[in-house]
Amino acid sequence: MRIKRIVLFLALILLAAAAHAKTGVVFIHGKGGTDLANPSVARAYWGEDMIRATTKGFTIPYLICSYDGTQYMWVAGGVVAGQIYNWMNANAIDDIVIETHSFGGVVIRWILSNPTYDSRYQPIINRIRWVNSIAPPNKGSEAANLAGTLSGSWLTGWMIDLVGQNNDSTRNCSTSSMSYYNQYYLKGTSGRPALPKTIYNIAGTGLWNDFVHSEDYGLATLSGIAGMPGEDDGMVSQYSAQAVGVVWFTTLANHHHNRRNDYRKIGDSLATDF
Amino acid sequence: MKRTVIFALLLLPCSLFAADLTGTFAPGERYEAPADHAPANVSRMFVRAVTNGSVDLPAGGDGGMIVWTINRDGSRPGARLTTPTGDVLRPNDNGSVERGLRRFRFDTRETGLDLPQGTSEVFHVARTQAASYRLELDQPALVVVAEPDSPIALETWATPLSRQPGEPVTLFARLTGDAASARVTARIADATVDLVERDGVYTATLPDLPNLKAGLQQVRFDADGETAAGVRFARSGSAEFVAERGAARLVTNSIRTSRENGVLRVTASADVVMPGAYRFDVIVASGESALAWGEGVRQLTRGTNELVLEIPLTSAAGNLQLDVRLLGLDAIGVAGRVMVDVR
Repeated sequence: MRIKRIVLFLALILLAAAAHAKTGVVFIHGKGGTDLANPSVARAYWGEDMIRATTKGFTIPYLICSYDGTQYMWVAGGVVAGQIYNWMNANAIDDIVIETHSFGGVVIRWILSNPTYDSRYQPIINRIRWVNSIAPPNKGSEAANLAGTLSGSWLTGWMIDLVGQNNDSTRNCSTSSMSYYNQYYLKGTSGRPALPKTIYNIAGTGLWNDFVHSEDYGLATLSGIAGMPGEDDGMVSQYSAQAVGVVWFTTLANHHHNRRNDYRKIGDSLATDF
Repeated sequence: MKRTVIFALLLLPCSLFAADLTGTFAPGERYEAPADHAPANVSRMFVRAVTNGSVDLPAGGDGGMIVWTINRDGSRPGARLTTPTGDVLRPNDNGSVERGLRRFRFDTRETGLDLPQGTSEVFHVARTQAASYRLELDQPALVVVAEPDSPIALETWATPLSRQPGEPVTLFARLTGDAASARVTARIADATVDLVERDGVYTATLPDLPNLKAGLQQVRFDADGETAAGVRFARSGSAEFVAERGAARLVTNSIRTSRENGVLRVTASADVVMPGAYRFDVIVASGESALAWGEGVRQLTRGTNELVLEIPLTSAAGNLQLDVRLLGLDAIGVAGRVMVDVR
């Protein structure tokens, strides 16, 4: 009888807490150009249907983070933290579900792993319910390694103009860099301290999603040339995406499509959190 | 007033460690020391910079081949591919599945890599002959050739992954499959070195790299060789390591521990060259089991600094190993790491 009362009491407390919680959803995009610092470009990254589906027709308060997609995770993390911090305080959001794509999953891991690095990190972490991480290169990406092979100081003259110097976010995503960061700065891989919040990962395992459009040729070429082990989505291998957190599901949507709600209705799945 | 001061003094030790974080590992979690190098990069591709209009592309005859051309100015490429049997795929010919030879074009931006905007061209050879293919280009281009099904792969890595100033760097390469002989070279910074083969592993040790800038270093490897059957092959690969700044160092023999009332107290000295924010990290293990961890941000000044970290430790294990680290925060990088046995 006494146990029943305690259980009832705890249930009431949880219900009361839930009743007062104001839930919101935050989207953190992956690497790309400097123009991803522009909110409209960041919104287009996800596509309107992904945002609509995830937020149940825009009924859940949401924030689409926008940061320069060429920067290291700690630079991106600072920008993202500033946006989340201001948004959650301005809107009294105290229950946040984070949706990330690709490098965005590394950026949120940086925040979760280094709560004392920035005074805004811990208040944000306190309000995060969990993270849904789509195709995160947790152990790096062989495609990013390819960028290192193609560019760099061994090229001279016009070759440098051609391939450029691969940027900080690409360097951040090489398998060597992520091996280094996983050992020293990031948590959540085996042998490292656990992350303070759960990450649910979604790995992409398909390449050819859109035969009509040539968009997928680039990813298929990249997959073939970069030599990704096992299954991959053209940019991130399954083993890397699943190296941190709990496997939620895998998707046949490739790296272009798994941030959208088109080839597979990933946004519909994300919406089941609300 | 006195009471207030005493109360404040009592609070001081707590406030010193107020920002510190500690935790325990899940039962059964294994301790993993930082690896000496990143996982080897495995390459079945090679890269050619083509300036004179044509290039021979050796193929192993053991599967498909992808030939990716990126023009110097990002313009639409119109390359011509000639197979060893004399089949020619002309610039306006997209080939077919039946011929086993196809051409695709796509926007280079779709790769997500930092390549010039423009059109990329890809040839796909369904099954190669063990001979050279000839690619003729109408302008200078970067050509990337992959044989995804080939048993011949170039595995490359570099040690140490975290390299302190003055430490030698060793480059490694290994060829898998039927590679009988090869010349393997590596390019790092502005230097090109030949790797020497011993027991199937090619190595080169660079005793010092005085002009190396701090940060992530990329090493490019190239291998050209022949199989036992005399078939030519080529492979390009890369490896990376981090050249640390030498911003600070942990004094190896300075680490002391004491254990009282379920708390492990770790002290260490750090010699600091570049003052700023650092993180003092300690992982506590016993045998293969990871037990607990602690970390705290410290503002360190130039010269010798004393570091203290207190970690709750409920384990009764007598023999402990401490993995003690000092990590840069103002500039990301490992300043020092020491392993200590505690008996």
